[in-house]
Amino acid sequence: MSKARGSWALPASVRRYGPVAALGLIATWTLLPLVWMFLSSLKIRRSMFEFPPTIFFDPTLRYYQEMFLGSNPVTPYLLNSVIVALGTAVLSVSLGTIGGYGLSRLDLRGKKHLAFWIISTRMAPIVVVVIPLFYIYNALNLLNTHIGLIIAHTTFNLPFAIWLMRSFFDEVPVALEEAALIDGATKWEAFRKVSLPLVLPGMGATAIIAIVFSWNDFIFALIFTSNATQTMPVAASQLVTQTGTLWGRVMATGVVILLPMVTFGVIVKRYLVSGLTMGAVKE
Amino acid sequence: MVKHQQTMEGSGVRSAYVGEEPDEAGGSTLESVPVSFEMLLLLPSVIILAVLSIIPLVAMIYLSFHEVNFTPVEEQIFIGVENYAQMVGDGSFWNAWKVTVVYVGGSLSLQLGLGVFIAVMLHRVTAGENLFTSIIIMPMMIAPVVVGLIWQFLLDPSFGLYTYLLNQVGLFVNQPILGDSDSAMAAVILMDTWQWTPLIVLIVLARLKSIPQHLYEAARVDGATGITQFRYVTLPLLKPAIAIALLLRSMDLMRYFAKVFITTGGGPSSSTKIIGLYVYEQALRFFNLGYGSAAGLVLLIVTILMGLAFVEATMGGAGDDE
Repeated sequence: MSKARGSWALPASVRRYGPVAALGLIATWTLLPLVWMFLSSLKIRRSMFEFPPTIFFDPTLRYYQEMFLGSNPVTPYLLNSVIVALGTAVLSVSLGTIGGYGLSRLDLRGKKHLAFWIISTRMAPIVVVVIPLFYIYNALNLLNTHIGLIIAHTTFNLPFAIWLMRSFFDEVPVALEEAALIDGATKWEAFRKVSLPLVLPGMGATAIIAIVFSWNDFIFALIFTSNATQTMPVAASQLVTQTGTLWGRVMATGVVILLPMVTFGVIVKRYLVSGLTMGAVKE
Repeated sequence: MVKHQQTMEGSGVRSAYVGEEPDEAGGSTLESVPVSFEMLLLLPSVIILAVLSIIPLVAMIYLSFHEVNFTPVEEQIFIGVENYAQMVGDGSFWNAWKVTVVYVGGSLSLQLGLGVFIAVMLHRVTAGENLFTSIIIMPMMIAPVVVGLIWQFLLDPSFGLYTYLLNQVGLFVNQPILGDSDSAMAAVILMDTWQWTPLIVLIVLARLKSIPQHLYEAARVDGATGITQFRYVTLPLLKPAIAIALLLRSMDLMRYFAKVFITTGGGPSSSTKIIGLYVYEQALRFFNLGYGSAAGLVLLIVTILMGLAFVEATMGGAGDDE
């Protein structure tokens, strides 16, 4: 392609290597905190606080060992995070898929208003949802339960899933379904057997992004859980105390929280733009 | 955008295939139901969302007109618009908005400039795009709490790596970065920029790739090259994508406050207390549930207006989608 054809009034060498150099700087700026975090999670206490910071040291897996085998293991919190993330993902993606299909194929005058109302529930500030839910949960005894947090996360994951799945169904030509209908299929069969298989990758991406949103949530989890139902981000935040923070442990916990999500991100990279813009932008 | 055309094409094909009433072809049992098959599929979600949004909204409006006490007894005392009146006269409420404007404005302009620049650079290089995008999407996947903790660690006055690097060039020596109003604000803005500039890059890059090559060729024939070409050909075409990116980012900047909560907690002396954090503190830390609800409703209205603009930008002008 003719990407490098632009004729800036710059020397050829700058034109040739400038973009690469700029991107290298950006990549460094992006990666440095992550690399530093990972290195710090392997440092013994003494070398962690050395100034100037040390780059070469004897790595230790102590913090990871402590985290899983020590006196206050993170395993229950990890399990809570998994339960809640899977719960809300299953709920949001199954409802979001049929709802998104309905919204895509719906022929209605006020469709745009309906679509807007659906997404507005996702765009409400976290705290605006938390306050009344807290009050309602308090009355219904849903505080400190998994199901309470799953419902809370569904408030942002369901509208997201509907919009994203709608954008995937919008790309499936209606003609395919019409052909099936002519062959005697019912509307449900046309949806189930013709369109649904075509959006399966999109469904997977939606599920993964919903899991990421739920896994990463902090404010809902902070308000709606107690020690027994706490998720990983809340547990991590509580490692920072006034009386001295075990930074090695904090960094190791951070690595455990981010590693699966970063992996997911790379897996669904192709869908990330449409996912994070709720289908507004397609790559 | 593109999808409109496809839907149109689809329905065009449909009428060509089966004539007037294609909808009759399918559902036999569903025929008797007054709602359409599509509506039926959408209904469960609509009902759930209605329950999950309208009940809390009503509860919130109700609370905003009450004083809510938990101790000694749980009670709600109707006080009319007193919460709203108190809010108007509350300096810390207005301060939170002022801080929010700086935080959102600063983050948006930095991220937009940087994001467009990176996208254009990325569009120019011939190799390594895949690797580079894999790297820059990483921060977006990370929990805000963890982002906050990493940056707190990097900026720690006694052992932070970034403190050390800044000290080497004579900056912030014996001066905690998160302990000063201005540098704390700069730090929370940079934190968000680190995490979310990639979203703008991805959105702008997707748009850049969809610009047909012949437009550039035509511009070149007319003598536009380099920066002129960018200014008069690329930039106008990027506008819709930029609008979407900015709206999404600004809404998220108003919605979330976990990173600020973790790193500065709104301090020093409320200099980074953005509106979300302010409402959170009022309602759930000091348990002024009534007052917090009133302030939260104002925040909700502002974000809903932004959301309306988002829908206009993504789904086109009024009415042309139906």
